[in-house]
Amino acid sequence: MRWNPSHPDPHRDLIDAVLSGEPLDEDLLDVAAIVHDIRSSYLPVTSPSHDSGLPAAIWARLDTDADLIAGEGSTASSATCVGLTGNVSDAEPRGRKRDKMLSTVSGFVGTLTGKMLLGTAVTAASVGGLHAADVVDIPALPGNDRPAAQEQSGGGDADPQAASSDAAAAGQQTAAEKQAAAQAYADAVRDWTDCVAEAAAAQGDAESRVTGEFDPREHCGERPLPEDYGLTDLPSQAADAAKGSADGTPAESLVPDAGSTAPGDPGGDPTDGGSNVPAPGGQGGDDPTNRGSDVPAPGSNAPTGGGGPAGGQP
Amino acid sequence: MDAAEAGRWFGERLTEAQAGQPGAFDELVRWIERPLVAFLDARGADDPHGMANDVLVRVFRGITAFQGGRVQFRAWVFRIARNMLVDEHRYLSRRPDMVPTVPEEVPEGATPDVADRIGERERVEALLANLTDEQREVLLMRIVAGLSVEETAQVLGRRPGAIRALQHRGLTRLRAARSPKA
Repeated sequence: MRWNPSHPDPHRDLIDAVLSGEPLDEDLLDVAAIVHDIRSSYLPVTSPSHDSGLPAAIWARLDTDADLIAGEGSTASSATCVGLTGNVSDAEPRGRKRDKMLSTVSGFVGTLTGKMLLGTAVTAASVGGLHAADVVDIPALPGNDRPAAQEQSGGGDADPQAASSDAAAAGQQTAAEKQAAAQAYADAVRDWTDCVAEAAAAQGDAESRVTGEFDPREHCGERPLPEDYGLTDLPSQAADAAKGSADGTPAESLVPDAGSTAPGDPGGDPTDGGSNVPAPGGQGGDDPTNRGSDVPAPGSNAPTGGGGPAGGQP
Repeated sequence: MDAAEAGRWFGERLTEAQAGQPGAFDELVRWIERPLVAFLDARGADDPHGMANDVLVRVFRGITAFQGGRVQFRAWVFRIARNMLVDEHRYLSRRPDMVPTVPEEVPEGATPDVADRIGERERVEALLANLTDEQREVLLMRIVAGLSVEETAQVLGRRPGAIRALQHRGLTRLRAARSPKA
């Protein structure tokens, strides 16, 4: 084999020839020396020491998802053993991964940015919750003032099947009417409870109010009923609660009403929201087969080309 | 062991390993780990043994789905190793506060053999510094990892002709660097 610096083709097997000890021309001896120098610099003289019980331990670990227990005679310099006991994140059990994740999260919360984000989130949740419970009124947040029909039509538009069917359109209109009735009922209940609260505040001392001498119907009339607004298919619990609150003291009536007058649940009919508003998680093709695959697919890593002549020997 | 016999040996070990026989996978590990560690070391891995273990665990976890022969297997293993090297380099480049690896120094009182080995390693690294990164990677895969031209081409996703050209230019540079007068 001769050296031809102008064309790479004559050297296609030069390294193989050097490594296999094939006799070379004199002008290739320096190349052979370079190859030998590089090889001897990096290749260890002997293989890393190996634990004979290692494969069984690997199988046991992956089968039981338990910690690897190094067998007797295992050496600290055993490369594979060291890696499996403490240096391999992909092979860790889920519990250990969860602990690592929790420590990462707690570490992030410990930072200034984490504290600021956490404080902002808590404040936002508190304000939103107060707004939802009608304790405070924040115009920027969606709530009771949002037209129910608009919200309903937005949900209907997102459903292509409903848009393409006349029957679905009719059902949509019915749902919109029901939504409007529920909104009107919720407004009436809120007005009534406000009236009762004002009347109670103007009535005597606190002790007389809690003993039941105060009758809200004397001041504000009967509590609005869902039937008055055409809401006849409410759950029986909601009707009972409304009835009970009308008969009870103002302090009692305010508490259960908060649920029925909440902005996200006008009328308290659970079937409306579920049938017309598409679930946000339903879109986007959340394929469970694409999730949580820790095992690297060899197809992605493995080369797909055809095989050639084999290289080094085992 | 000729190529056909080596291919037969590998096919048997692979089938046994995929069937869950621990000894078979252990033989495959023994076959490939030495060049793997050497290659990772030559490519500047921070912890070559640790990274080799990570590579082998990934291989172990994916071996049941692996399809291919001996050439594809070696190319697959070294492709995983190369990807991990790239990840490590990226990670270290984003962490400039980390202490860089200090070049190995000859300890006081070291035996001449150890001193010679360290000195030789430094000379080789200085020699390889004359190469481009592509040339260095190809030559290390060929010389240290013992991959064939075809295997190297599969690992790097290039054609064998390009690998041969890179190898030729790299060797030419090394020759010139070793004997500047030539």
